Amino acid sequence: MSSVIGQIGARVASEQDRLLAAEPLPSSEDVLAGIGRRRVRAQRRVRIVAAAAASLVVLLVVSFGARTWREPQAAPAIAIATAVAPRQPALGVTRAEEASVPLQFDDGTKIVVARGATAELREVRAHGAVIALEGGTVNVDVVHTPESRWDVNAGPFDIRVTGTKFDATWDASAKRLTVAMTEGTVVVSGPCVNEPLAAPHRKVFTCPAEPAPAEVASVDVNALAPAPSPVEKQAAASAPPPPRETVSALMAEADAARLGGDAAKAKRLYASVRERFPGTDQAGKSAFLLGRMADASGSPDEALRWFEAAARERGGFAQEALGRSMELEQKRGRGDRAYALALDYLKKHPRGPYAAYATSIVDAHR
Amino acid sequence: MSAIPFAPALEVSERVPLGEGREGCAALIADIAAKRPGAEKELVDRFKGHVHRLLTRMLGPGPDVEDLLQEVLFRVFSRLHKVVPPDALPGYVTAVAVLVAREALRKRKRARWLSFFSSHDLADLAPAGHAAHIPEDVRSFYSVLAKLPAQSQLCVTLRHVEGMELAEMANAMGVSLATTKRHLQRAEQELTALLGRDVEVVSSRGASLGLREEAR
Repeated sequence: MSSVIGQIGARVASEQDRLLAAEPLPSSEDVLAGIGRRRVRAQRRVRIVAAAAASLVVLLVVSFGARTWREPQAAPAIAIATAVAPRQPALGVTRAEEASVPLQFDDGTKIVVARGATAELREVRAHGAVIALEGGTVNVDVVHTPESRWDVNAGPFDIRVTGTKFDATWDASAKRLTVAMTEGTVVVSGPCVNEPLAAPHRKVFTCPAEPAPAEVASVDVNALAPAPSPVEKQAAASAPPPPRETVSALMAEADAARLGGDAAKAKRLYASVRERFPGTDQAGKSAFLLGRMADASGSPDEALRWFEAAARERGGFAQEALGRSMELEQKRGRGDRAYALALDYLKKHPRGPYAAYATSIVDAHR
Repeated sequence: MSAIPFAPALEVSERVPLGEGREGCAALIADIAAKRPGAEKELVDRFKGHVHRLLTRMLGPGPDVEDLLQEVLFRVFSRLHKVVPPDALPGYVTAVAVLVAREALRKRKRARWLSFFSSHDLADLAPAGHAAHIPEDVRSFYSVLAKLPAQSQLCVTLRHVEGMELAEMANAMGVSLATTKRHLQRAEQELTALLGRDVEVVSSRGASLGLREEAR
């Protein structure tokens, strides 16, 4: 077999020499210019590495020095006093397991983590804070000032508070937020919502499959337990539509199947591309690839049908498809058909990769 | 119907004799070190054809060959002072070309692994454009070759396409003669296993060479 490879190699070398002879080499000036650019890049890399090393040394020296110099701690913008669990850190999670836990801020704002709820104080700002409601209910009573900025996060939702009183309940399993307003206005934003909610309204928010929540016009704000609306229950029963697959994603999956050796799956996916995205470049390419696969599996008739389709359609494989058709017909002994295809090929692609082969077929036929 | 005649194969172009101009190499290196005007251009003139052809053999025709040609010569210039003795310059240039080609082949394999779609793995499917003038059998050959590890690809192309002798290959690849023989044998076995039915496709135009019979 080594001799076969040698002969193939010689043939390849011969074709390459023909190509190399036909194309001029790049000029030495261009090559030297390219080398010059590489030298500049290499010098730049050396400078960057040197600067990075120097910065690292400086950083190490500074951090070592800073550790030995204690700075006075800055006073917190807002002092927080907790009625329960005095060991609870100012920033952190509050789990009101036995009883509700109030978080009192020195501007008068009070946030009560209701019994059974879990909330985290994530950030304290100069004029506000960020509370993340992980589950259950918080009663929020924010003192309004022109600079007030409080946020209550619940799953994908955010409740922007500037001075108001309300209850927020987050059901993590149902991905449902209920906001019941007592005073003022908040703005609720999320993947599918961005709207204000004012007292005395109560509203349930869910995203993305369920429909827009129905507003409850009047409600007893003391009734904290949320009730799902009938519309929500109906919508929850229907499955969301599957995401629309792009032709690129489908082609990539088909190519992966083909390269991975799963011919049956690849054929199915390429056929799907042609069915769902007819007239596209990918549909034409799929026809060519289906032809190749049919040829490789010993189905020349099927291969020819696909190659003929690819030769007619978009996708950029027309000359390869026509060339392969010509080659297939020649192999099968259909000289007249091969001759006709060769003439067609030379007419359409006189400088194509199969031009020499087509010429030899035409010459032999005469 | 008579057998399809094929155009006679061209003579394989002569390679740059490795031992050419030993005295010239020493003088050239000295001139470059002394920054004589035109010395670098002389080196480029002398070796660019050789390197360009070598890279084409090892990687197949493609748009990156010219860029890699610059990379090879850049590295040669960077380490010119390490070429000892100076008359080893031609062999050194070849070895750098092989090294750069190996890096390029490994980079292609990584890119193919990441994308699951490689223009080189499907070199024979490249649409009309840059590769339009490349004959089908050349593209098919490199397409099959691309399935081998980089080292095996180099063994096959240096031996069977470039036509290097084993000792020359060992020098170019930086390994012993025994290792070269071993690598080459393995590469040929791997390629044989891959070619299979594709031998007919790649060699169909070589029917007059009797390849079809030998492949069975």
